[in-house]
Amino acid sequence: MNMNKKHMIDRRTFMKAAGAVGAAGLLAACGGSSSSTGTAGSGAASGSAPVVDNGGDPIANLVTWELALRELQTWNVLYSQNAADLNVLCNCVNGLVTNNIYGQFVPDVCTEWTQNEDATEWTFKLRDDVTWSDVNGEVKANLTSQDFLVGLEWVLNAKKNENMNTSMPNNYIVGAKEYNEYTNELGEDEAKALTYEDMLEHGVGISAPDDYTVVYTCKVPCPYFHTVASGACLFPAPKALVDELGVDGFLGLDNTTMWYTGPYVVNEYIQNNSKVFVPNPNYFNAANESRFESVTVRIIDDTVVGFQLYDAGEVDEMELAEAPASTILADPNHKYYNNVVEATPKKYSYQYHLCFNRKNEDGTPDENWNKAVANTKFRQCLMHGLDLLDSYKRVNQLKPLDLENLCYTMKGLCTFSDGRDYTDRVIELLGYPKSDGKQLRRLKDITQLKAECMEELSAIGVTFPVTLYSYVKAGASTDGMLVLQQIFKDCLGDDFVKLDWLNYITSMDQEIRIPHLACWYGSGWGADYADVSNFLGQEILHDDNAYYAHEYSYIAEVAEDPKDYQKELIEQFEEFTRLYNEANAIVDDTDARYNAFAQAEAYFLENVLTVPNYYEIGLQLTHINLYSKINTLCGIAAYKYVNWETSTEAYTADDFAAFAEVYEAGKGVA
Amino acid sequence: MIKYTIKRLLQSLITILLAVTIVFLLLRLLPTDYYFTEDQLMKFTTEQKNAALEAAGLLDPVGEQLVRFYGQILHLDFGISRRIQSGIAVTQVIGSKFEVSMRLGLISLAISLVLGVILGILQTVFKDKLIDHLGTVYTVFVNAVPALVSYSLVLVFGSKVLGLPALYSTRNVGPSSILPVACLSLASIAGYALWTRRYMVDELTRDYIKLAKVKGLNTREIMISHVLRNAMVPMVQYIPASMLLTIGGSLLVERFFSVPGMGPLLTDAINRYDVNVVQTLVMFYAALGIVGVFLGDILMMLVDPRITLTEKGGAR
Repeated sequence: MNMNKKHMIDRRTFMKAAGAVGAAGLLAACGGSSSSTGTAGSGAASGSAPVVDNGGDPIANLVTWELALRELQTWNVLYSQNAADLNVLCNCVNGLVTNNIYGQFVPDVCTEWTQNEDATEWTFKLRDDVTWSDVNGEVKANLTSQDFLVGLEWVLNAKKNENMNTSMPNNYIVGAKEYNEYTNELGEDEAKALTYEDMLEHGVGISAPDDYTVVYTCKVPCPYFHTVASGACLFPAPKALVDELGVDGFLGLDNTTMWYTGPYVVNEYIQNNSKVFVPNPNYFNAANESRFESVTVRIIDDTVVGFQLYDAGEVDEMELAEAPASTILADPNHKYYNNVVEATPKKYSYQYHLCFNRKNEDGTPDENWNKAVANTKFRQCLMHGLDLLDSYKRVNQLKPLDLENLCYTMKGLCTFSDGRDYTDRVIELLGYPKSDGKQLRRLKDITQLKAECMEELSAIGVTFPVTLYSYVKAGASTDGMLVLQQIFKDCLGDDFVKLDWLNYITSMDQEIRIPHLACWYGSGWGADYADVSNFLGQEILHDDNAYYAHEYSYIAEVAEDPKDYQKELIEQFEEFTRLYNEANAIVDDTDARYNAFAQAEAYFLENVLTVPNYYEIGLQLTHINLYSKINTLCGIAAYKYVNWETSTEAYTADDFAAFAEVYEAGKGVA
Repeated sequence: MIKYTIKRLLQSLITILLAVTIVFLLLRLLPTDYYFTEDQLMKFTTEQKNAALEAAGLLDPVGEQLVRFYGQILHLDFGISRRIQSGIAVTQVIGSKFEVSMRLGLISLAISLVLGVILGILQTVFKDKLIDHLGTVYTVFVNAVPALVSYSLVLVFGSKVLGLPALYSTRNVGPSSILPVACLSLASIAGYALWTRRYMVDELTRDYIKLAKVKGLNTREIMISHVLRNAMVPMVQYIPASMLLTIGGSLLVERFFSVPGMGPLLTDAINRYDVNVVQTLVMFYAALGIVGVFLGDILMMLVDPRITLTEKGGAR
């Protein structure tokens, strides 16, 4: 597949696909043609029938929720690197590129994008009908390419944006890092006085040949730059508003002072209580997207209280915590028994990151653990011996097997040109069987492996059982750890590996991770951009940006001076790094690139250089077809309240099965 | 009295300054991880973390930060919030919240005082009778059952049976305030009833009550004019402080019913390492507490003329 191509309004392509599967309701989910005054709901976007008619009407005034601890911190999208903020702001402002319900990248305020031969120059053509409006719906200005220059200058200017959101521009855009460093060194007033013209003079790789064209120049070939462009770091900023409010005022925007381009304006914001979104009368895509008459986001304490609110009819959807989910699913006569549905996966791929350089509390190396974890068979026992099903059941009692994560990269992030998911190729290379619906796919009989491992490790002085130290915050529930401890006991045996845990008081980083005290770390990585390198790149050697290699597994430290028993481990990491670099060098053929990455990832997982853990797929009670929401693993559009299919009657698990079927069929064609 | 007042004021200022300095220093002992969200901790480079902390002035030497902080206080500049509402003045963050907490708190205080004192009087008058036992059961129940359980019961009963809004709403303030006020009042009614009963029962054993009975005063007269009045003396001392501290709100109730008040603000600010907000709140609460106690002393003096406020001696 040639990557040097023009990306025209992908939505049209998608609409053809939707027609091909013959699911009229799909149009509603993905955006067809409709009246701008239509409410989001069953078929409202296109006036067609909903995917499932459960007897309810579309919801006009949606009430949803957010946890108090995730309350919004800033209204300035350029300043935010926080999902809780972006879930709000994606309804207020737009970037160049967004996603559709299948996670594909589609134009947002641009009409098309093109790249040059080596993917170092990216040109985005802007729509000419996008306007900035204030909270009252009064048009303040047209969105032009100048706004992207102002936006990038704001992000890169350390005294304006305090270095938030700089990592991707600094990594990819010519001159960005240098300009950022320059502003870091300048005095506050001097830096604040800089304009985008100053940035251009410093040679930052962005230009605006005309009012509706933005061109970015990358340092190195970057075939996925359009996915970088979906991030908040490249969002526009209206020059007139920056001039009006000044630097401090623009940094401290609120819902009443900011300008909007998005589908909604927020006309009421009571911190720790509610936000009310109403349609932006000047929204450029109003004709193609259905919106609610209002969306109210209530702030709640926790999902247990949330369940009571759902029960009282005060919110239209609610995640189910373990306790209410267990209560409902234990009683087939419970009024919500049929309404418990499985949510779509969150964006994180969770792993147990093994620490290859563990230390004791006195700072000396924990030789017993370090020798054990350097042994491939030991790690394979962890990977193929631990039956984590009981652990998954704490999150999802309905379909716990769905939580099993077999890969390192998040599924759905990248697809081959034939529509196949990248992770399917990795799983194929790993040779895992299809699910039998009863047990995890990774499980194997480890009896022989365990015996050989114990023999090899005993020969180099390892004593058994090897203690695997995890960690728990002091005062927090240890239920999860107790379940895991039992799993270790049942699956590996007390004679082999024993799970124990350390407590920390305030900071896991300061008290556990930095002193190298844990043997593994449960951690989920969410994509910054849609390329496998964003995942695998965190594990390679000889790269200062490889986060997990430096901060969790500490393999980068081990590689500097490996002990004899670690040499094989380092060879494996070197080989993985070589495979990774080969894949990353392929910039002109996406399929070849992904295939090469899959080889690297399969090698990484065959040698169990990390232990894939789970996907976050919880349970919900809901009036919303979750498959009609935008699916974004990077970018900010996941909570954009457009084209949502809803019903005043709560959906059932059967309804969701139908949604899933239509979605999968549509995905295959799209 | 004036001399005493001035002295108390000066002492109060020093107390507030000490309290806020201690909190200032304790905050600097906390790991700066709190300044970042989990995602930010993971995705920020060390340089980015340092730059963000530097922009917030948190990497300067503590002494320098402290001097700067004192200077800001002198100019009544409490800085801007960095994590609760980024870029917004702390006074604005707090100002939008305390009115809500105070309104709900004062309503609850009034209800609690009236109902609690009446219940206490009834328990005293009908000591060891059914009403007394019921009052005791209520008091024990409220104190024994964890607050979140009793709030859940109120929430379920209020929303399912009475059809009241389960969450506070600025668009429907009256009805949506009922359940939070009910929860706020639950414990304080029990508290006022308990202390009213206790002080009144104590007073009933005094000699002057026997004298009043011998003089032929009826029970009602004795109870209201003598027993209750004297029993209230130790209680009125706390009323000004209780009124002022309503501004601080209730962490549990406000969180539970999504009341946009002051209650959760301090813990949120600590959790998010918003030092300007924490320092300002501590100063504010310390001032409220001190003023409340001072006003309580004066009120007690007014209720009981035998008590005087002097530099030495007196009732306090």
